[in-house]
Amino acid sequence: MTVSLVGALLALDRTAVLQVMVSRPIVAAPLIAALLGDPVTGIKVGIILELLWIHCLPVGASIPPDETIVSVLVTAITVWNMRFLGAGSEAVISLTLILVIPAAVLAQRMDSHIRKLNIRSARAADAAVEKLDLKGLRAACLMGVRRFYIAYALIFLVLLSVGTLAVYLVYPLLSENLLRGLKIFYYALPILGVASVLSMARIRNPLSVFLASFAAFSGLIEVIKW
Amino acid sequence: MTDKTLRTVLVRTFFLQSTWNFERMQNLGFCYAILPALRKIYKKEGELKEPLRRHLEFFNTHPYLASAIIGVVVRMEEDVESGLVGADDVNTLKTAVMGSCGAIGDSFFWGALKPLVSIVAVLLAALGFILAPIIFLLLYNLPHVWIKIFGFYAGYSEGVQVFDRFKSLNFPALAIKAKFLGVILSGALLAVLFHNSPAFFLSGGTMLTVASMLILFLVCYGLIKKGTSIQTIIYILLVLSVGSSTLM
Repeated sequence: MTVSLVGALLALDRTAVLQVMVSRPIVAAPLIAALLGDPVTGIKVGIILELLWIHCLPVGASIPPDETIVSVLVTAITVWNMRFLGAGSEAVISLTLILVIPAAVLAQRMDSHIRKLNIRSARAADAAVEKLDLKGLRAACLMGVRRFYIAYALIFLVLLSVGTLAVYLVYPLLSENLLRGLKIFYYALPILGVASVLSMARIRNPLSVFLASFAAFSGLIEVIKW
Repeated sequence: MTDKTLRTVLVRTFFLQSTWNFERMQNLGFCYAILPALRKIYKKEGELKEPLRRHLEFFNTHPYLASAIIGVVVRMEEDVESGLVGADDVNTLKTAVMGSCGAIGDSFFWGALKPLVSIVAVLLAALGFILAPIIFLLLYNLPHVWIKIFGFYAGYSEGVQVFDRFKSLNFPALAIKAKFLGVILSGALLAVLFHNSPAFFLSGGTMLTVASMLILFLVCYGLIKKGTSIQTIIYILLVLSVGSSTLM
């Protein structure tokens, strides 16, 4: 319940209120994990999801798949199942992520639906102005916040319960091979994330600059290790 | 205009997109933000209706730079009330500047600063720095909150001159530098991620050696460039990972 309420608050930051980026995976995931007493798992989830969603922001009328919902769900479901199953974080994070990704699209559609509903508030505001009903005007102006908060809290409440149970039931059924595969997948995801970051870089010869930097820093790490 | 009213308006600019809608976009947020100022300016019964109607018109810009537009509009509304400018000039100004402020804000804050700060935070987190999320919030929000506060008060005190001040900050040049730095730090991040990978992941004879990880990176990069969605590549990676585990 607490995770749903806090998660919904964090999700408001995406577009409706503040936009100080507490909704971003690198913040939301460690925050939720800290709330559950395991900030390190939150950092692990945050690194992967931040990289995968680095260029996704709700700009203007575009609504990207929802990164906050995935961050909160993956983090909470992983932390709980690590406790229930006594499992390591890598395979549980991978399994949860695979199951939860469709929720990003579900939340994207919900967001779009709420923005359509908000047109009613624009009309209500027009009517309130004609009557000079300032209380009604204020309520219409802030109605979207209420809609978003309730929708997010409900989605979290349902998906946290369903997701936690699904991972709890599926994980013990996985073979050693599959678990190892999920662990490899966990380490491969940030590589995809960095590729996604680079693909969006609008500079001249991004790949050459990137590979030169990679070679230089790899060498530096080796020197420090040595 | 009292300091308290200006502060209230400034705080309300953080709610600009609270009821964003597909019809008139940020109009409700704009009206909500400016309402305390309008109530101070238009004190006579019934006078408030016309300016409120004005600010329920279509409005859409970058949410951070909107505070500067709101500051300018508060000053203009004072001038409208004292007869120095016409009421139509307010909406003309809003229409004239919202597009350019939107473009500047999108390209600098969304397209350059946020990715750069994200990479810095992920890099710090990958190096084991647990306070990386706090660093992320500080690095991102110092310029964000500064531009909101500076823009609002400069907009109110200097009027449209504030947009020249924005021009002098040369956001496009800053964005290019931030993007370049972001690419360099991405290279560092990949080096750290490879270094952090567990021994089994890097051991010779397995599918995913350092060389194959680089190949994997280049394949992902190529797929994204060809327009394959990240979600699809995630599932391709899953199949590859499970497949490679059977070879180990």
